[in-house]
Amino acid sequence: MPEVRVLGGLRARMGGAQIEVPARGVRQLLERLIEGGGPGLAAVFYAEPDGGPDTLHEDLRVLVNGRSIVFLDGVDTPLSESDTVTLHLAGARGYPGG
Amino acid sequence: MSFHGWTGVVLRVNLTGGKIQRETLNEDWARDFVGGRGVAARILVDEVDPNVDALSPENTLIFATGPLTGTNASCGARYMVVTKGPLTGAMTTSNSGGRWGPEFKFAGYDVLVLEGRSEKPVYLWIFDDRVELRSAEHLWGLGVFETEDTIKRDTGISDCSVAAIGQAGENRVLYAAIVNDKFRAAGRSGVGAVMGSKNLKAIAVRGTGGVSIARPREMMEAQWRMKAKLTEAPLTSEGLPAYGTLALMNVINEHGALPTRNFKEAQFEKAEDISGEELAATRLATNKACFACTIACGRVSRISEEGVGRYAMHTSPRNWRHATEGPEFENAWSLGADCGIGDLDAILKANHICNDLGMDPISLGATIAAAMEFYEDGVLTDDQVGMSLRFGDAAAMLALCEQTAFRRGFGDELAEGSKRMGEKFGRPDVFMGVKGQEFPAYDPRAIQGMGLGYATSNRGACHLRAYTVSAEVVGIPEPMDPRATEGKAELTKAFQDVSTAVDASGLCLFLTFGITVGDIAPILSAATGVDTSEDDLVKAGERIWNLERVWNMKAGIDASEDKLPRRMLEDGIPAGPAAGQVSRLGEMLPEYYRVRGWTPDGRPSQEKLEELGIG
Amino acid sequence: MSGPTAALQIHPDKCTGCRQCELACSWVQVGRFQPSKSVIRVHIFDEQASFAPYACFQCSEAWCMQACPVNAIDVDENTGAKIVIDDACVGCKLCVIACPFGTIFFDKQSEKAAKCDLCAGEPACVSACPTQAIEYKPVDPGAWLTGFGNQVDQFYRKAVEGKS
Repeated sequence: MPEVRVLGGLRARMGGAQIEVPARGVRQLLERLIEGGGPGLAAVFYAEPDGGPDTLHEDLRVLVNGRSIVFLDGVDTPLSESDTVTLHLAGARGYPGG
Repeated sequence: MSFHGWTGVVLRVNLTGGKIQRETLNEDWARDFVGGRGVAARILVDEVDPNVDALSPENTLIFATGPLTGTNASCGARYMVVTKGPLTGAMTTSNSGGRWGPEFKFAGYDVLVLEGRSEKPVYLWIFDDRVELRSAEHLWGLGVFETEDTIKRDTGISDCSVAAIGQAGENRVLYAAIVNDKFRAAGRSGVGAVMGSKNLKAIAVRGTGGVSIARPREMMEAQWRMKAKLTEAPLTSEGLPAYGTLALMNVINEHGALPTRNFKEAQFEKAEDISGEELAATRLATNKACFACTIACGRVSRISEEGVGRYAMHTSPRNWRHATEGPEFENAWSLGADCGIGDLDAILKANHICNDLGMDPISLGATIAAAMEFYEDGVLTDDQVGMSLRFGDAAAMLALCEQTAFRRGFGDELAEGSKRMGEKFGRPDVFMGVKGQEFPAYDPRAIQGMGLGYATSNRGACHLRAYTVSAEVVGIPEPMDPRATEGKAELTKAFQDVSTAVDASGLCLFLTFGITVGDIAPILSAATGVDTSEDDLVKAGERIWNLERVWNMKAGIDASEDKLPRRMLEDGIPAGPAAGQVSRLGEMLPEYYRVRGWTPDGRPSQEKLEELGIG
Repeated sequence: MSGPTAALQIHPDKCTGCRQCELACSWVQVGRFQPSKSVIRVHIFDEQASFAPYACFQCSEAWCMQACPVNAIDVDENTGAKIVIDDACVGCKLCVIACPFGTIFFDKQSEKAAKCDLCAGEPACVSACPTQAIEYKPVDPGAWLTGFGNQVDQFYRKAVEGKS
């Protein structure tokens, strides 16, 4: 089962630092986490609470094996049994041109 | 120009003869170089031969505030120390917060220029118009904390602010810091050693004056807009207040970019034990702000009950049960992961000692890590070090922190930094840094932009000169692939110019996690009355960057020093997410020179210098 | 002597020691950023990990007012704040001596007493505080002061015992 490591303020919202979630891809993983963690998580993960994984919140960072899914297949990145997923919030709006 | 924002006064103290003068700040310089890092660099260029010995009386030590220091613009607490650095031989620019900068401004000055060398230890006492050199013979040999307490007692002015050196500065440890308000430091490149070489123990200041503003209504509106943005951005409203910079420990480790055991590895198995999350859960008393800061990333921490009795120290503090501050991410990394140490109490104690004895924890921890590599490779013996020195040995790390400040035993070697130590023992390859200064906490093999930023930084390896981690790891303003080299030249230049501009304004770099230079420009314009656009401000940053570069080249630090250690270029990261990666500096550097408008051999072209008005 | 209709309520546990309140207050007093002119001050206790803003909480006893020999301290009808009438103040400092809380100040330049007047009902320090450590609300100073005292006491005990 893919292991999910949760960093920073998300830990309190998700009830732990390490969670194991059966999922074959990032999309399914996020959906299962929301099912397990209550509707509050949808607002953290998604820009539009009803928008689903296709509208990821701009502050959410998702890594698969230490690599941002932005440089993989986004929410369609597949997950295998031995994969590690890291979730954290890192939103900040500033720096050149931001 | 009548001065608003700026006070318009430069205080010049010649320590050799004791002469104290007030001069008018050069208006053109204020306009073109803004303040802080910029104005100080301009003064240094005008007055100091790039080839002087950094620790000689011919070097000049400059403290400079920016036009927004002491205003209510969020994070307007900063001052910059600029001098020729003994660790690097380059122009060094060390920034600090706390309340010293605003207090100095309230006393009526923008810049303090310190020349020469006092015959005997002295400290500088500034109470508004009253400025005098006082004997510091009773303070010499004391740590930063006791120095501050003693000055406050002697003067009876308990609300003065003190910037002091500890024993490390007195003993000219090449990375000695200047520490103000006990826990805030102009930390890197050995500015404290320069102060020590001048026999100047401290600068204590109390200011009861104020900072006037050219266009008040505009100022208030612009800074309210800025504060609102800081409140909206998650990093400045939640992340930094909750976890401080230490929030990065787990993030960087997850990316496989956390240098471990002197950069032999890039992931630390005990990162969680020394993370911001762990500190917040077990040892954080509260968060603390520098003057006027609405973010408050400072950590006020307590050592754990078990940790209080562990690792007996010869020096301070009086009571480990009192609250201390820190650690910042960089310090927890250098004294922790880089030495293979996963004990937060040991890190807190080492960090406290660095504040009290006045040393840069990054260079100190990294130099101890290099010595640990020596020891494990059999280059050093127990007899030479005076103890065993394996990676992960917290007791040895703490003992060496103390020894270094006093240059006792093996500490005398560590006090020279890892470049000189490596050369002395015939293993220059253990030096992990650039231009004589040790790397901070990001592996340039895993984050390509950081490699270019380190290599081209004017003050030696530094994360604060071009924090491309922001784009490459945190995804701000746009995510950029940390493993790619494309676009990193432009990114690095942009970050360098912007960071330099912020450093010149008197504001804190962390603001840029929530706002842009475009938000700072109107505040600066309203405060000073000099209309400054976003482009003007970035241009000023570029101007200062080039000025520093040209001065460095005259000091013999040219493009041949824009390099990384062999380990970063040839030895792939052994394991983790970035396994196999090396820094591809060679792909980025020519492009960087081109983007900068420099010649292919890394010299600012005459056209570029003329365009910037410094030809 | 009438009690206040509202007063500053301070929560030291929320304070980060940034002193934005002092900057805002000085702006109101003198139109510059000059903390020495502020009539709210933040005391920072480093080793105790405690930051304590303090300002006049408009106590109903108003010892400053009672001590003033020239009736230069009056009550603002709208806010209940005790205010210094500059034209009447002769700068004798008796009020400064009388105040048991140290929250009325003597200004050397003007040679007058200076104290919090609640900015006529819109205290600048309250809106400047980034952590809501200062609130302005209808309150009986005697009542909230008990809670404040308890809080300070707790902070002190924590510090002495060295526990977080």
